Amino acid sequence: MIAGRTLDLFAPVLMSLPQLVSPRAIPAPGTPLAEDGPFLAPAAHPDDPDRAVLVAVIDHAIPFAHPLLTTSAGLSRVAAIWLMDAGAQSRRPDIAFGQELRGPQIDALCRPGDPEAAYRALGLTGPGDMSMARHATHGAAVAALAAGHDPGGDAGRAHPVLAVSLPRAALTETSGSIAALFIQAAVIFVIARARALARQMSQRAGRRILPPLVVNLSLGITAGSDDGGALMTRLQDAISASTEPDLGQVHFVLPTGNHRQDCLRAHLAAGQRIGWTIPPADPTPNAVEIWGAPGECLPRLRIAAPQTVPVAVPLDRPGEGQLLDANGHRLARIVLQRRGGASGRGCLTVILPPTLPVDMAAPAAPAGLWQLHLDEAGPSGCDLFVHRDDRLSGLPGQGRQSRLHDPRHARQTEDGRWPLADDPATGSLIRRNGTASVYARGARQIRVGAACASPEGRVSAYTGLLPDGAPGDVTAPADASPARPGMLVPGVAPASRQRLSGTSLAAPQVTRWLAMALTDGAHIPDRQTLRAEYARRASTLPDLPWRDGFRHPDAAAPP
Amino acid sequence: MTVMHWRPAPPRTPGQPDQDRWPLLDDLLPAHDLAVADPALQAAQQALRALIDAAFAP
Repeated sequence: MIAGRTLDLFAPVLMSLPQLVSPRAIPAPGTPLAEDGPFLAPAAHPDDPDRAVLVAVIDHAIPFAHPLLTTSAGLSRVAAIWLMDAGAQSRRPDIAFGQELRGPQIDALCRPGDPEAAYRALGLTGPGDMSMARHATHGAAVAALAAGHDPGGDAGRAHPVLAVSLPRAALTETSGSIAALFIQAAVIFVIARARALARQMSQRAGRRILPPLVVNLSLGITAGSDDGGALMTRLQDAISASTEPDLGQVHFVLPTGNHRQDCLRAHLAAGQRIGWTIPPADPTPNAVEIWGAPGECLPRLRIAAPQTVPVAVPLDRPGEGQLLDANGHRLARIVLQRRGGASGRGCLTVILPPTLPVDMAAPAAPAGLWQLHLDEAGPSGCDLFVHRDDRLSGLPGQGRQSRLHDPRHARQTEDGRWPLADDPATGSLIRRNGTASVYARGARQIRVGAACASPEGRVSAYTGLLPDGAPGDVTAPADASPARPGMLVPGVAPASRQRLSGTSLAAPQVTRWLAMALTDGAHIPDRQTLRAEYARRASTLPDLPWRDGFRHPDAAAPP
Repeated sequence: MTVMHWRPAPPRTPGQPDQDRWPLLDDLLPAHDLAVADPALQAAQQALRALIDAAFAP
């Protein structure tokens, strides 16, 4: 039901599919039907199916032919990957666009001594799609951290991999709004293929095998329903809570996001006001959401653009309208909703057009300091969430982040340090608590913050915080130290490395840890148990094979 | 100081506005006539529904 509702609500995204995925990804009439073959070569199946734990990675530009994702015999451990942007060379009844590959198909595309062969065969390294021609991608780092194992050993065979490579256009949109449909489809794909793979494993074993599944989703947004009511969190919670006859427990691992210090979150009581700084030369829209509490009255707002007289938004029931300047040009669009039914939360969304639109005839908002006056609100006040204007590392994008402005809020201390928590004594309306990604607000997801390797355990200053101020359920190192951000992680080519930072890298380390702990027989039914078990085993965070080097299967044997 | 004016928008779908839609999508996507779907898009919708069935009712 939640999945179907997603399709209904995001129908406009589906209607825009030709603009959001590569034109080659939409199956042409007559595209041959793919055979429903095995997920893995027989020798790539887990040695001991009772200890197998499936790992799923949903990201962009995942190097599915990387040696870290193979067995010692060079066979792919990737049981299925949905390349949403790739040309549709064959068709499956449940793949709407792009191409699905199974392990044996990946094996057939790989060529010894030619690490790009599989990507080239799918058109992922040439004109139209260069995603796998780059040496470094977000998906390469995340997939390696979550599921990469030394191809010289067979530890990885216990962890068949499922993956979805999201389309580039959905991720270059800087607010993350368009990606939601693709992410939901990716989650559904992972569940469908995990269940089918588990059935194949049971068939091979001659008895019922129920492998657990750990899903890593290193993506996030900053605005939306932060109470777990968003469709994405509801779907993940529902999956984690359900018991399927052919699959073990499903865990979702997500980062808490990197926006603690970005002034994107505030809390206002009725009668208070806050500034909203809109940057110049921004080619993307800027938006803020103002959420009331469940069942309380709808928020009423007065708004002022730079150098204008404040105007009251005359919406007292759900509806929408535009703010125009004296010449009739649109300066803002404002939508009032009550989300989640009659007893749901009032949500007022203010959307400004770009300050420097690509089309010079399109509406443009004035840059500078806007003012938001919350004239009326319920007794609980309202939470403000500014949409992010960000993109994954390695992807092009020209968005410039708008921020809330309160003169009492200091982004840094006088000696240049980043404050870690809210200081009520300042009276600032801007909050650091509650800056965790809105995707990660479910009741069952595992939320992961970033920390420094040295001093060990120090939480990275950018890590988004849950409403109670915690940097997630657990943290994992994503920075060498406060002075040396980032960590060295694999790139696309077998020998390439990249330096990346952020909670996106912390989450897959916990995915990896959880998969290995479950393989070792740990019983981790919920995140409370995970916190305790993680604290107990923290010093045994799994080692990462590329730190000591690993043998490429093609390399000649040492003398 | 200049003055701004408010212009209300007509209801999106008279009688039954969808309260849970994501308003920013209207600014990010080109306008489409949802009633006139092209066969490829209908096929995409069918495939996504088949995927939902494969995941939750195999």
